Amino acid sequence: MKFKGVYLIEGRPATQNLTPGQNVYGEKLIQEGEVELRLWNPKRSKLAAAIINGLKEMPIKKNSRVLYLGAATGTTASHISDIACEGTVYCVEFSQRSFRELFVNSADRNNMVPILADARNPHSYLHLVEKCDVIYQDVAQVEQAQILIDNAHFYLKDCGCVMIAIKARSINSAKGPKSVIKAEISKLKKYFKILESLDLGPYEKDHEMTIGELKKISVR
Amino acid sequence: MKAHIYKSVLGAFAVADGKIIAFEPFPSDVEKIVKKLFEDTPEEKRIIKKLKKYEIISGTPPDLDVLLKKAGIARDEYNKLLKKVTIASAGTKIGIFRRDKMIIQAVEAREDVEEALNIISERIREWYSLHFPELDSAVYDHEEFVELIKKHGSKDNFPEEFGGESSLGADLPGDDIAILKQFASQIADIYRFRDKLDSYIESAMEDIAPNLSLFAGSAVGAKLLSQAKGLENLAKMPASRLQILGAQKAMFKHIKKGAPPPKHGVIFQHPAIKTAKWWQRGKIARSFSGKAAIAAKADAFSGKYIADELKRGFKKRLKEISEKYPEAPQKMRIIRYTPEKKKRRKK
Repeated sequence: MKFKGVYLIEGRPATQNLTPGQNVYGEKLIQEGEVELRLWNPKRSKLAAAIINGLKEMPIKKNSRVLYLGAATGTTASHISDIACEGTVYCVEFSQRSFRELFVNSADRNNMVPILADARNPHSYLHLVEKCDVIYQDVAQVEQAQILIDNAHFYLKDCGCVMIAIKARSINSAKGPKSVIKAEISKLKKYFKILESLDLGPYEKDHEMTIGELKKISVR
Repeated sequence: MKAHIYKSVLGAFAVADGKIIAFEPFPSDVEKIVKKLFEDTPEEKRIIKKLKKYEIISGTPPDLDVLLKKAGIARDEYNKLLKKVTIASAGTKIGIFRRDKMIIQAVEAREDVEEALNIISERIREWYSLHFPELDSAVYDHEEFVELIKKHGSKDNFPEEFGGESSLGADLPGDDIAILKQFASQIADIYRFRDKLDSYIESAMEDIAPNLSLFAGSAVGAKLLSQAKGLENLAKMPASRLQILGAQKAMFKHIKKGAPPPKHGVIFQHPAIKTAKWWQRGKIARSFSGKAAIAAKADAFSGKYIADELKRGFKKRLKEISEKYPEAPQKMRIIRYTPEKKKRRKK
């Protein structure tokens, strides 16, 4: 196991199935002794890509409360739900079309809560989400950094961590991706101590996964 | 002393210094909870009454485990209730009938139907030509071709002028003619459905966006709605964006490589722009989109009827343009775009 809850099968990550016998997006189910694993596809999940590319910091643990912004249809979220099997994954998604699938995919997972809301307005789910250990964000928006900071203000515990997939093309499609990503990370540095940052290629082009830790209030 | 009033799906809590000082539970009915979360509730009012000595402040969510302990509910049960509430809440947004969403799907359906019709019309032409090849070259229009086969079936039944008697093609037994007739009939039905789609789009557009329909025409208007993904979205756009909706490929080429910018997107399909003289198109497109944008805003927000005014203004501008720029500019500028810097693409 690379991290607790993340298995490696011939170099490819997999998670223990919270709902044995079912797959969520057509992924392969593998029986490893008594345990059923779900193969994690790096081409469809940025977190899997990060793990394959050598991710060192993995703040999501067995009992983590995770706020997932931009859950889409729940592909990555389902794996996070596997890992945080004794915790909760709050999945915030804005698109009604994606939400329909997110709803289906989370129906049998008691720890996966689908929320139809706009992550740019953290107020709108104030009554539904608790303070979390980890905020995982994958929204393709121009104001990505600000969205993370606003949500962290409401929903991140004091020693909490953030994981953000930065998509250069969504921020500025004309400028060079490296400089766009650098600028975005420097916006985050004011509130978070950057623990790690890695490129997600070849699985995703011009994407970076950045892991940060919330700075103490006095330092921000 | 400061207290924070927090609403969860379980009810309203008052929290001070991490401790719960008041709790008013909600009823367990999911629909009622959804309502209460987004409105002022009697539960909250009761708590405020109890907290006379406290200053009420707003804050971030308190520790859920503390709330659960006070309410006497386990995590699992809480999660189940929470999910019911989030799904019911989502249902209130998803389940709303919105005609503009219907139009967007209808427009895309129309494009799909058109593509499909082209494919199967070509197919039946080839297939029927085994029997009556001369008909393919005689009839140019697909719909007409298909109606003829549906009506007559075998080439022997065609009127003399079609030349069925002297045709080179093979004679077909009953079953084989029958399948072709059925194919033709199905295709004819789809042509009729395509027309129904057009009238649906037209009447739906006139219903939800009368100004835009009258000014730009329901066909172009519907395409604009489809590109913008909704009437409100369209109304919020600047006119310059409306102008190039549908020409995104050309627009990105312009931004990234310095190609000349597109003058028009889907609005090109409007006769005022399509049939205009090439050197006037840009100006006409700009005036058109300015007024179309205003029409969309009126439809989305004010509901006032301003289409006549807009049309008058546009006609006036058209006249101006044709008078001011009657002749093509003297030298035809050969536009060659040079990329700003040569990028070597990493393979």
